Amino acid sequence: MRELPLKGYRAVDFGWVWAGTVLGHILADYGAEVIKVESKRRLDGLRLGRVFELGTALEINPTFHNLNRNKLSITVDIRQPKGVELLKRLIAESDIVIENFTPDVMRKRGLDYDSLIKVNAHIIMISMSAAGSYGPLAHVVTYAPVISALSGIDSMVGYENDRPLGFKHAYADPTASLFGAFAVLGALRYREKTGKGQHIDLSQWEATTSLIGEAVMDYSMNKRIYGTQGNRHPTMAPHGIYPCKGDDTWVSIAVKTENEWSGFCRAIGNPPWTKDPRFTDKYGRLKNVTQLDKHVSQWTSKHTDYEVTHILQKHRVAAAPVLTVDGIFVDPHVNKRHSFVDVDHPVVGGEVVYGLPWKLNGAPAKRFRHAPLLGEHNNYVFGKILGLSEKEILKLTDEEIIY
Amino acid sequence: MVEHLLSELRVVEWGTFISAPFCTKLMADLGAEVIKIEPPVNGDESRHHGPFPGDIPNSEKSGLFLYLNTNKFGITLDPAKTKGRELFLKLIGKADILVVNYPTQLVRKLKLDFHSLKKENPRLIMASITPYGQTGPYRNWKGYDLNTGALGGIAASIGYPEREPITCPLSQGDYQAGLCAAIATMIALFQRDKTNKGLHIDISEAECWSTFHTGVGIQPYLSEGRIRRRSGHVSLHRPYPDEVLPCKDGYVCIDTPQNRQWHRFLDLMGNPEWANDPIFEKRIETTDKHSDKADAYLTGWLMKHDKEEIFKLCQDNKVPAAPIKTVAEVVNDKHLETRNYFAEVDHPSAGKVKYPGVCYKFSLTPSSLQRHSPTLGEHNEKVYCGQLGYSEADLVTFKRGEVI
Repeated sequence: MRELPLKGYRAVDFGWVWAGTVLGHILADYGAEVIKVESKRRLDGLRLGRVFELGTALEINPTFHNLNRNKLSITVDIRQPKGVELLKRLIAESDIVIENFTPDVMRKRGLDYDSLIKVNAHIIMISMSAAGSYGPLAHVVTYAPVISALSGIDSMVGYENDRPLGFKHAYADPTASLFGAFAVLGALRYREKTGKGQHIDLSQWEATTSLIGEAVMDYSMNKRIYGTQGNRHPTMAPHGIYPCKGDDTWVSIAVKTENEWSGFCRAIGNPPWTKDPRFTDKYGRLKNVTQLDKHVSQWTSKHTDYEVTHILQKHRVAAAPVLTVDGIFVDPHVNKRHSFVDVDHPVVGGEVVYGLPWKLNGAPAKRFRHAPLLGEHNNYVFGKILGLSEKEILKLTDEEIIY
Repeated sequence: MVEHLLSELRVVEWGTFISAPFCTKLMADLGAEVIKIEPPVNGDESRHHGPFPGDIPNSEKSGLFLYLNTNKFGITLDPAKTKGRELFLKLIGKADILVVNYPTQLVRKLKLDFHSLKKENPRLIMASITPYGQTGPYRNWKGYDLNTGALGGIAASIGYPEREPITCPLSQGDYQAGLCAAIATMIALFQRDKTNKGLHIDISEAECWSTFHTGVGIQPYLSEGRIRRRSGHVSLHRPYPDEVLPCKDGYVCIDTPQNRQWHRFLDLMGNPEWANDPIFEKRIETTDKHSDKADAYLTGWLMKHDKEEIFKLCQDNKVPAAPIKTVAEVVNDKHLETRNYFAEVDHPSAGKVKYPGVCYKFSLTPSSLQRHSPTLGEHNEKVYCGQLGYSEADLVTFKRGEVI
């Protein structure tokens, strides 16, 4: 059997809740041995029931299971010097360290980059705090929604000429992780070539701001300040989400070229309104978009979301249903692409975690392993990797160092 | 010569608009050699998108293009022409990575699909970004950012329940797909080290949403029937408040999932009387059932203070909250300035403009080269003559034949 691309690399994952955690699972999904560092002294917020302070059951949160699949778990109390020593021994045997704490946390424990290179000169460490490791707001207290607010993107999420609503997903968390994964993999290749490790200081705020370059450029050039964007597009019309037959059912339609516009007209049976001079060219459609949207809605309302989609796609017009998770789960395309993976979890039984949005054709596929139970791999990591005897492990457990 | 993180990586981009260009920008900003292929005459679509200085359209001054193509070498080439295809294959012969976001049918029609290209370069890693991926019933469907966000489940979660769902601003799905392509490509390089063979990567933009972003919602749906729907400015099933609210001079975002955060927030407001209202006993129910009433209480205090005051008060008391910053406030932010996040890039046509910079700093290797985005065909001579060995006379013939 062929080896997974990242087999042979070991990462120590201090990822807390979401942001660092996704980066760890990407490496683990491709065969790296990713060891999540936990402690009963302070549990990952996602372990605790559904979300934060909502329960005490440790092994049932599906979000935790998604973000930590394929990883190993150890429990170490990093407040105790012996715990820190133990982790340093592990880091000496590792390639990558991931953390997303506020800047002082790792330093206070003696686990910052300057301390770690003393035990492993080649280590690659990524710190991905909310606002980066220095600067007046380096210690800003945030969750993902707060980072979206700071980044500028939230000021554009909402209906046109209406109040900002904000991203209702933890957008900044996975986004920053993706930038982090790219940076870590780049640093790993650089180390393969030069033998040199290094420290990466990633700012989640800056990662999110780099996705609104268009607005930044308009401000830089013209001092224009973008407000909420809605579904309108500067160069496409129709471009919107339209009501369909059925309860709360919607379809997305985007028309860019004149070819697509004639396809759209043909698809809906060339009704007289499409010949109205207000709509015959793009300029007119953009200018009279409110009226245009009314006509489009009248037509879409007579069909289901999938009917509209199929009719329009047959005429090479971009359309897709607006799906919630239930719809995504049964969509024939998503199913065919294996976007979700079944795993068996020892506590909750069969469950589904998300797969990856890319397929590496020619690389072996990973069989997903369930997210680790708390401290599940203490014996393997301390015994096999660090070579501690059973007795030593028991002693450290009694002392609540392994805890 | 300064060594960069990705020096020695040779990348060809045959792409347009956002996803493929953003992917190779990430590589170019870390020192990879990226040769960007643009169609002769019109160039990349983003050259026509704007924003333009003074709102005067000019394909050398489009803000979106300028941002997405820093540090790349730009050439023009029409691979549909016989000679163009030959030049394309020569470029591929020298490349580690090819990133493409043209429709699969077009790529196949021109015989520039992975199967054809690996004959030219068996070590080639080709990343294809398409709206829905290379397999499955929708593989040939048309799709723009709006449609992939709809299918991927993100649009359904934004908006008021009584109005239509809304998409994310400024083509976020295209950026997500570019990011994912960059990661997958790096992983593929490790695979190539093991096998010495190239490989094809199939990236579905819709799946970038339905995995990393909305995919965590699948299991709660299967086990409890929970479906996340749009809920205006509040976040249902989360402890109150996790939302955006108005204040004296704009809006703020407040997110206090932990009880101690909520109590610190009440403290800093001077423990108002209304906090004793029984609606706050279970804060998830506050969100789900009483958010109008709760918002009215909170807004009473918020409207007396401006964003910066609220930001400072909350942060001083370790309450996760921040202003909804406008783009102007972001560009002029002191913290980002201290970190030199924004970079002033000088472009021969557009002049000096502030661009978003690179979000990571490496302790050893520089993170940004700050070379301006190429003008159309700026590096034709460098690439065709310097790298592929053609003469300047050949270049003239290529131009006359509309190959470049």
